[in-house]
Amino acid sequence: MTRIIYYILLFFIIAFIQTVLPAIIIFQSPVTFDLLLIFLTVIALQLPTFSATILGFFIGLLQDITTQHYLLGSFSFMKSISGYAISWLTRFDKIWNRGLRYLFILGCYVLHYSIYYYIRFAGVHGEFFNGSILVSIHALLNLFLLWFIDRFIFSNKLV
Amino acid sequence: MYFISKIYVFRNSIALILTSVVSLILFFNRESPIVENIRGDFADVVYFFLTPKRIYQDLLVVKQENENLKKSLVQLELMNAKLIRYKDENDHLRNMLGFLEESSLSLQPCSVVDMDFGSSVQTVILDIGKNGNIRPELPVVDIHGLIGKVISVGDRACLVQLITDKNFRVSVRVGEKRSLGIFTPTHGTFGRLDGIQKSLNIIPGDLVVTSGISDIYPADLPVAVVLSVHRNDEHGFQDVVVGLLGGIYNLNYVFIIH
Repeated sequence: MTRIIYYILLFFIIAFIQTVLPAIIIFQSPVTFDLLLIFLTVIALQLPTFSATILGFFIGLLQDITTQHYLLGSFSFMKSISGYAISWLTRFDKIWNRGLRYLFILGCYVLHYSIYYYIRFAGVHGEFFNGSILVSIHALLNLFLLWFIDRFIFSNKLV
Repeated sequence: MYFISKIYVFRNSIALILTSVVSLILFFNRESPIVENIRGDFADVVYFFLTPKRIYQDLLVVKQENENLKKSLVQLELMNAKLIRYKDENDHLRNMLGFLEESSLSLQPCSVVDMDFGSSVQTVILDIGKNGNIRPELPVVDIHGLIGKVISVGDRACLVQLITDKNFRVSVRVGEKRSLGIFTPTHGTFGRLDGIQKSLNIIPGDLVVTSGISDIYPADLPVAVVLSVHRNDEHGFQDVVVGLLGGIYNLNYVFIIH
């Protein structure tokens, strides 16, 4: 119970930080850390797949409501899939090495941002190249933050 | 119990499916240009995956269309045949109209409704009778020549004895000197001229016309054309074989001369 309360409090803190986090503009799109995705990753790597999926859904839903109500359901969809996919990693943590596990998480991030930019650039022609670069930057940026958290907070025991 | 245990086993997948479905329902229920564009993309994807079905349906449609086209083709061919027949009829009527205008005679056009070549008297029935002031003994012609004469009249139809009937006779003139003779039918569209003197010069191609002596037939109605002439010493007259000008076996419209 204490753990759940801890996670809920942590979520609200992260959500607040996310709102004030600065962003750099690349190709007229804001690029910044997705702290909620990192939070979901951390949760998904510690909780069962079922919980990670449901939690991902609600985190995404909250993100939809607060940031883009006109696309309600998009973040919840992305985060549900991301939570489900990342939690799958726990099944292979004894089989795959650390690099492969990071690569898998990178793949999940790429999937997440591919859906995000697909929705963002829907109906806009000629944005495939820019979208691909943005997906890569976002995925690598978040992966770097995850590595940083893993290294300095979880002492390389998270991933 | 079994069902619940199955749900528990697949709870992860069920959770993913449920959250995804709920998310997508929420997403696609929004009215936004972006959502509209994504709907369009989804439609494209569905269209792509339904390609085999579409091809199959196209084949069925092509088959159905092929059958319909075949039916249409037959109908059009029939209609075409009908139009060709109408054209011929139109041409024929135009010719008749021209003949009617050129002729100084009082002509009553009428249509042949029945033909009888099998009985003792070869006749045709015309679609005009007492209602058209038709009476017996009126000559009947087509645009080529004499056809016969009216022998009996009903209220709305009349019976015509054809020139090919074996009992039919008509007084005619032939040759440069317009010699008198009697036309007698022999077989089919052929006949002979009786009473042509040997001294008269008749050659094949000469036109045979009515003499005008009879009360029935006015003078100079074309009847036949001379086909052959034979002078036999045993007979007192020439044997003149003629061919009828009237289209006896292809009658559609004729004229009754008042």
